[in-house]
Amino acid sequence: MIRQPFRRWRERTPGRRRSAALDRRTLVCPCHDATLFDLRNSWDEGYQHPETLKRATAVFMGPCQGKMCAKLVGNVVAELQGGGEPEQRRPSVRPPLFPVRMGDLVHEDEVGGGAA
Amino acid sequence: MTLPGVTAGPPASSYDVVIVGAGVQGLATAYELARRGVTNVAVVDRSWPGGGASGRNGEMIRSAFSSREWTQLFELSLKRFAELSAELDFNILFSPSGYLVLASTEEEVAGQDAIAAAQAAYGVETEVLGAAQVRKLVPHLNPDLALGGILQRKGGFAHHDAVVWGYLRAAARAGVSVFSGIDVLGVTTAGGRVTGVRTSAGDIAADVVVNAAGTTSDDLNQTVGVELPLIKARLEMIVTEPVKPFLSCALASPHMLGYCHQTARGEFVGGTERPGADETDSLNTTYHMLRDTATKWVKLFPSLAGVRILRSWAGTVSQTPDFAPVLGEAPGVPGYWLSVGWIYGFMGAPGAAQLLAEAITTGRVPDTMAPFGAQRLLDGRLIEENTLVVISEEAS
Ligand SMILES: Cc1cc2nc3c(=O)[nH]c(=O)nc-3n(C[C@H](O)[C@H](O)[C@H](O)COP(=O)(O)OP(=O)(O)OC[C@H]3O[C@@H](n4cnc5c(N)ncnc54)[C@H](O)[C@@H]3O)c2cc1C
Ligand code: FES
Repeated sequence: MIRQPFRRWRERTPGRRRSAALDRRTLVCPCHDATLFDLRNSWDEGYQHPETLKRATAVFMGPCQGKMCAKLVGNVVAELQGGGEPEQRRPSVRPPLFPVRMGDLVHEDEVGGGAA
Repeated sequence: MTLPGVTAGPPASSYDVVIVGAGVQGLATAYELARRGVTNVAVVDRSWPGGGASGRNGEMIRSAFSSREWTQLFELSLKRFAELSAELDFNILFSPSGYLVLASTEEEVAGQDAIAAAQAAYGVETEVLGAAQVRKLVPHLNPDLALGGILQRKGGFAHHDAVVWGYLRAAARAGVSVFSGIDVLGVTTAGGRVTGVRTSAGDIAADVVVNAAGTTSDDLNQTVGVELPLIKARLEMIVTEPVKPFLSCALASPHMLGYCHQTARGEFVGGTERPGADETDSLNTTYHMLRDTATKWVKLFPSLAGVRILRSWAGTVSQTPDFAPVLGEAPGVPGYWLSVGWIYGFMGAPGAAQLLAEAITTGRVPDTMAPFGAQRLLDGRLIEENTLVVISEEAS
């Protein structure tokens, strides 16, 4: 089962719309300082797909590449879609799995083109 | 809805113009048509707008090429880039911080004067830089590979998503309908003339259909018997963690077959290529290209060795034998227009869209657009352009 970080809070405040001020302070993607307000705002503007929401808010694109924010974003999207199961689709996870120093990938034999 | 400006609900049964593909080419063309009063236009995309190459490219912009054809088309575009944020009422983050084509061999240095003279003759301002000037402009460059360069100060880069979104919103405001998630299955004709398209959401009638379908544009051509030499070419790019500003301009290295820039956030964004086209179309990246890219960029910028790659991605383009786009009405199929074969289609979009819209609405092909007609490929009259960062298999 997927953890739902906002579940307890939601149960405590049924039907109540949170304040913009609180949303602004609710960090969803710490890498890029994207808040619940940013997500909600972009959604309202029309970025209503995990791929386009990513491009509008920069979630998933920080140093952790979404490892910290993906579940939260999924839950927020599910909520914005009007409840139900957490949104499980997320933008493709792009290699490398962890940040890799460019110097560690240097390999003269791999080079193609005029530089070879 | 997938993006602001995308139409909710199904398409109507007919439009004046149907554009296949909501990449930067299709959307810019829709916007330019609307500017000329043709607003009963539908742009149809199987994915979300910008989901193709238009949201995956290196964002680089220049008009400093060596041939009259390329220079004039891209100069028109470059001028448009400078106006777009204001005109579209959307910040496309155009950064005219300069575009440097680096010379890393004596041979490249020797060729610089002739290229710059041609550029001046075609009305494009560039400066030929010597080794000392290049190293001053980009101090982090490996001095052994920084022997010279041609700098176009007015070139640079813009944010690719923002350009797509800006055109999308402005086109939608002007009355254009943009549909995502609808697959165009074929072009329909009657008596040799275009009558519309068949889609996964039913038939749509239109007297004018524009193929701006990027990599799969050839598949659409096949449905109306238009045979053009278009191949797919797959490219990869990387982005690093943010680092202190070290690269102020956009930089292309024909020697490394690479292009790069640093974003306002500090990320280094770069791509390299190998000789010949990779005709597979997977959007997954490969270990060998990751190493190709890392090796080349560390060679060029030794200080990047300690900088970490966060992400790599791939995109695909359609490519012609002379690497120039095909712009104009398809030979033998009145009403079927092409904006395909783009390998520099991000920087070329604003100008090309303007020319295409003019041709569609007036029936006259503007002089700047004429050389890019499809007939050249059928007749084997290829456009010769010597400053592209790509080499074909034969040339390697
Ligand atoms: C890694 C990389 C780096 C690049 N770097 C640069 C650069 O620095 N500068 C530059 O100018 N150019 C660059 N390019 C090239 C540039 O991105 C492309 O030339 C340009 O984006 C092409 O735009 P387009 O609108 O023609 O195609 P696309 O953006 O690919 O759009 C085509 C659209 O058509 C849709 N479509 C296709 N077939 C159908 C169908 N049958 N039905 C419905 N929809 C369909 C697709 O979903 C897609 O959204 C680069 C490309 C790549 C991949
Ligand atoms: S927390 Fe969102 S990318 Fe790292």
